[in-house]
Amino acid sequence: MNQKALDVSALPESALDHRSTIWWGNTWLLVIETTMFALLVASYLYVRLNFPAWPPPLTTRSVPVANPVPLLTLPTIVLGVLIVSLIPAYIADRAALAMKERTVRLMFAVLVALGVLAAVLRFREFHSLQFSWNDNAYASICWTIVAMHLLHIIVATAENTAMLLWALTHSLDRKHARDVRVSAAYWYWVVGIWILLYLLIYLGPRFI
Amino acid sequence: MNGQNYNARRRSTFLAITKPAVLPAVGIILAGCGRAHSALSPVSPEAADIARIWWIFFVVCAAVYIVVALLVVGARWCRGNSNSTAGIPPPLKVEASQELRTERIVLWATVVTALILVSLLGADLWVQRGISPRNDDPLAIRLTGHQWWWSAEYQDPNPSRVFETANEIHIPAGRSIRLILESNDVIHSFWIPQIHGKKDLIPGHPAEISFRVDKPGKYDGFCAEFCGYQHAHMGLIVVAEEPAKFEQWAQAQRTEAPPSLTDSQKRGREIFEHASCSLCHTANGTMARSRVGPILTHVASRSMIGAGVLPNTRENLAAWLVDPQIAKPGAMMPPNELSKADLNALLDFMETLK
Amino acid sequence: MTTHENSAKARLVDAPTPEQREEHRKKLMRTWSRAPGLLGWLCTTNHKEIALRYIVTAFVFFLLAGILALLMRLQLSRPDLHVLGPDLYNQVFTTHGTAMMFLFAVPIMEGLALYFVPLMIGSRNVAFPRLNAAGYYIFLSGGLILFAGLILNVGPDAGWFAYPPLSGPEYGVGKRVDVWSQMITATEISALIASVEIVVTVFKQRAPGMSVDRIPIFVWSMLITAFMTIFAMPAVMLVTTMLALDRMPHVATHFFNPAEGGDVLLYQHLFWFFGHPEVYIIFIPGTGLISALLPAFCRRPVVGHTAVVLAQVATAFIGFGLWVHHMFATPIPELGRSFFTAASMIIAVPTGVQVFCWLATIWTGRPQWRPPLLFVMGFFIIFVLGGLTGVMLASVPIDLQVHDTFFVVAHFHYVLIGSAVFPLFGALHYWFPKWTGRLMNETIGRWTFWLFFIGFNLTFFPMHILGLEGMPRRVYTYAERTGWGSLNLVASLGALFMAAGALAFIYNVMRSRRCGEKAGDDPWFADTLEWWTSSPPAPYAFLYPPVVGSLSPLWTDQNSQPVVVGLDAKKREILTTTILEALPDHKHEMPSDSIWPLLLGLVVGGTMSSIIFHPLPFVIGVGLVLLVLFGWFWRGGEPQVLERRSPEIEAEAA
Repeated sequence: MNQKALDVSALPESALDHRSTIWWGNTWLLVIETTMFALLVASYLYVRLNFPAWPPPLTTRSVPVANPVPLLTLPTIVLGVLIVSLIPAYIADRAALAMKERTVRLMFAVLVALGVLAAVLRFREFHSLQFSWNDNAYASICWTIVAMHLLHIIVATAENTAMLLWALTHSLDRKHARDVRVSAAYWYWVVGIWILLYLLIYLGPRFI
Repeated sequence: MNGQNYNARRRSTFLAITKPAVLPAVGIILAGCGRAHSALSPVSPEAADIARIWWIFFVVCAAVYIVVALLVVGARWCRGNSNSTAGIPPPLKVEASQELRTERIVLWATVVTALILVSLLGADLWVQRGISPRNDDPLAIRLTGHQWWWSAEYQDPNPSRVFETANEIHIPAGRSIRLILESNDVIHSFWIPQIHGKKDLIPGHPAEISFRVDKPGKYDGFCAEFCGYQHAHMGLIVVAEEPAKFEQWAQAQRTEAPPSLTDSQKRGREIFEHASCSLCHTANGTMARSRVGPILTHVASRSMIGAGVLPNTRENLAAWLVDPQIAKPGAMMPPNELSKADLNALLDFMETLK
Repeated sequence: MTTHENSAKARLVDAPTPEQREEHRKKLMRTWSRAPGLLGWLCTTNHKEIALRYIVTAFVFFLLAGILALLMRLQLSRPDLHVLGPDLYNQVFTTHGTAMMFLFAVPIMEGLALYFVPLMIGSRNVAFPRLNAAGYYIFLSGGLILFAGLILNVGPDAGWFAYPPLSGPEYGVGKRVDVWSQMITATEISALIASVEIVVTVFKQRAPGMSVDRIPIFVWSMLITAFMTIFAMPAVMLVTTMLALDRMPHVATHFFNPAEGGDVLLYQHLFWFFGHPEVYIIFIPGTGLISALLPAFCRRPVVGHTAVVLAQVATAFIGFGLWVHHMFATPIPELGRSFFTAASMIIAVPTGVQVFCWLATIWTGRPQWRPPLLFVMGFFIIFVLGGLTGVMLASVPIDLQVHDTFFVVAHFHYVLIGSAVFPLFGALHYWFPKWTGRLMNETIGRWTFWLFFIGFNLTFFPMHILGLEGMPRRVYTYAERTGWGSLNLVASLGALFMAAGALAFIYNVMRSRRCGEKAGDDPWFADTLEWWTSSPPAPYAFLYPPVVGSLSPLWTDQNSQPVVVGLDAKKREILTTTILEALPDHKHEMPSDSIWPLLLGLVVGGTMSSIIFHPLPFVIGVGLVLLVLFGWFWRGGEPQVLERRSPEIEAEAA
């Protein structure tokens, strides 16, 4: 027969940080995604070896372009929007920790708006690559990386929208404060990985 | 369960467990027989080196295997009980000092394993160094893989001496050969077990392999990378000959198809040139000039039809011409509707393509 | 608020009285059981039910793929046979390999992990129960796509690694390869889900006291496998997606098209970056099973616990550095090859450590030669041979001779069947009483073993010789003059023995399920916590979760250890603990049963199968997935019927 029992009823009912299972689940999801992007980057560099010039000359236009490096204006604007969006994400993150309901609502509204803006601009950003995805392997890999990241912006923004709707219709409890923090962490990753990918896709061809 | 049954079961256990240990012995005997396409009956220095390293690895690994297998069978034999009706005994008390001794044995076994592996690695790298590309004035042949046949173009500084054949290559014994490998469609792999290991033919990645065959003879090869429907029937034959005989063969290959003499041959030539044959095939000296299928200028001098599918006899050729899909379903060559007389004429003509 | 403060809030109190226990049991039963009926069955989030579905489904796929293997052996039994013909044969061998790897070997191990990891670490469910259910449905849809393809004559026919250009748009015409790439994506999503489940469950849900040094080796092996999956599977998802994009009408990218700067070798690198770790993703769970069986049947803990765990970790690391040994025949730099040769040989060291530790366990233990231990013996005899031929294959010259021949076919069947299927059969005999409360028949168990063991060696040993004699793999027939006929006939006859062994096993399961000997909770007097539950375990698994005081809790008087009280029985509440020391950290409420996982499975399965025909369903699919996830996140809104319980439970609880 059991001699004693360990009473855990006084323990807290949730954790808002790396002690929660959700936080770990999200982290491992991000590890998977990061692996995926790392392999895409490896593929980009591997394909590079097959081309004497990078990017290859653009011959599908009426006037061929010898060194069609990606245009910078729009991609840099999108990058700027994403980096700016870190601010509301971070404020919402801290506010969730302090259970400040109003701040979370406000900041998530801003975050969703910036996410939508980034996604819309991203659709136009494809033109900055100058190529169509089926022109050659260079174009295929660039389009895939940019599109894959666009998919992450859309999914993350949808998640943030759901979070915003919940926050607008309910009062903030600890369970959802944790969800807010996890969403913010996901968004940090979406922006962070893009800084690296931006350097590779847009600045890389000017140097490698 | 009575004792007699128990012993009987023990015996059968022993037999079944030792079987895998007996089979390698059988393997040695079989391999020693030297089948016509065994990797262990080498006819080139390259394959001989590989066979040598193979035997080194085999002996070492077999010894390790026998030790482990004896330990397992021995445990079954000497330790514990197999009586399921007897209850399960309580867990053993593990003595720390005894445990330490056991772990030391494991440690030593690991060290020995590592040493064995390092020596095998050394042996491997040492033998590998011996298998280097040949630069001593090799005969260069461009070998191209197609679904599901091979074309071979014999290189020569003098363009008029370049010639082409398919599915059967002759080489001079004792001279270095350099194959330039290319693929026309999907990935194939060049493999003549008695001559050398494999080399893949990958679109966009030209490769080379070189070797020397010392012993005249006829060696079977295969496509070793899965390449679609007829991967099974993509044979390549290498005929190694005395240099003089090879020169004779090469000279013959450079000639054009001979003029057709008999009426039947002339009729056959006409069919060859004007029916569907010429849509895909070439025979130098005729009007057939298409590069889709194997070159047929000297098809009658080859021993097999359809990349190793059928021996090259008149009956087989007739069957092949009428419907290649029977012997090689999926092959690119379509069935042909030919009257009996036309078929005979075509065969008569093709027999002149020596 | 630090963790330490949290654990300080846990207090030792008196053990619950029998009345309290009974009261608690009724409440738990009401809380953790699922609604009766089909909907309750489809919506359950009980890891034990879902894991059993994984196991049964994967076993069915094993039998189907086994039937395909028999067809192949029939076709190859004599020279120049035309029973199948090249078109069907190519579909059959591709489906066989694909199903065995992606639908059997990986998921059945995941199933065992999802069932036993929570039990062995003393928890009530996996970390994300709904996601777990969704993972199963996605896996099932992947399997159905593959076999539906085969039945409709669009079974994949480019081999289980589907090298372009053969699998590319130009030479792989029709939809066959698309069926393959979509089913891969589906099954890999489910494998990744299962891996995240395992990792987080092991990190955060171990019983108090189960510090890192008290984690059973089986749990370690599944944790390490999950890590490998997390880093390896993205590669295959990516590469099959790239292949699908290349092939897709209206998309037609050029990743693997040499004419436009693409590279078919890129495919091979990416595929084997996944493909070689995949072998260890199948092998390491096998070593976990061996390490779970040996203590129970040798009556002592495994010799060198730490060494075995470290060896598994080392295997996982080195396993990522070997992939190029599948590409020795391609034009790659010489130096690279030597590196991969060395790595391929070095990996034999950690494997050797484990084998020696296990042999030492048998020799210093008191082995009980019951059927599970027979299968372990089969593992040694078969796997060690496969491992040694693996050492041979690491040598570039030897590899160049036997690569892509029947020698390699023999090698990897010795490795995979030896290291995964034999331990698996042993484990199924071992854990059957946990699932059903009844023992499997031992006489039939011995028959199963000997038929399978003899059949296996008859089938696959001759293939070593066939390979050396020049028989390439994946040929649908061979000519009489090759002289390969007699050994092929032996191999085909051996396959019949294996089939008989599988039939004996199925018969044994069917029979023992109904009228096997009653097992009790712990028929083997084993050492790990899954045997501390009833057989079959209640939905809540542990009436009071255990506190762990040693590596072999059930051999060190678990009943004198404290139990965990204070979790709310009216909620699906579990205790989470800290990662390294497993100190109590916080309580965590698990979600209720839900319809959304099933819907997610349907949407993902539907999207995957329609992408085969057109890229547009992808856009619709993403939208639908987001909608489903929205409903999932919103909580509430579940069908009321899921709140119902069977009359007996309701009556008890009231």
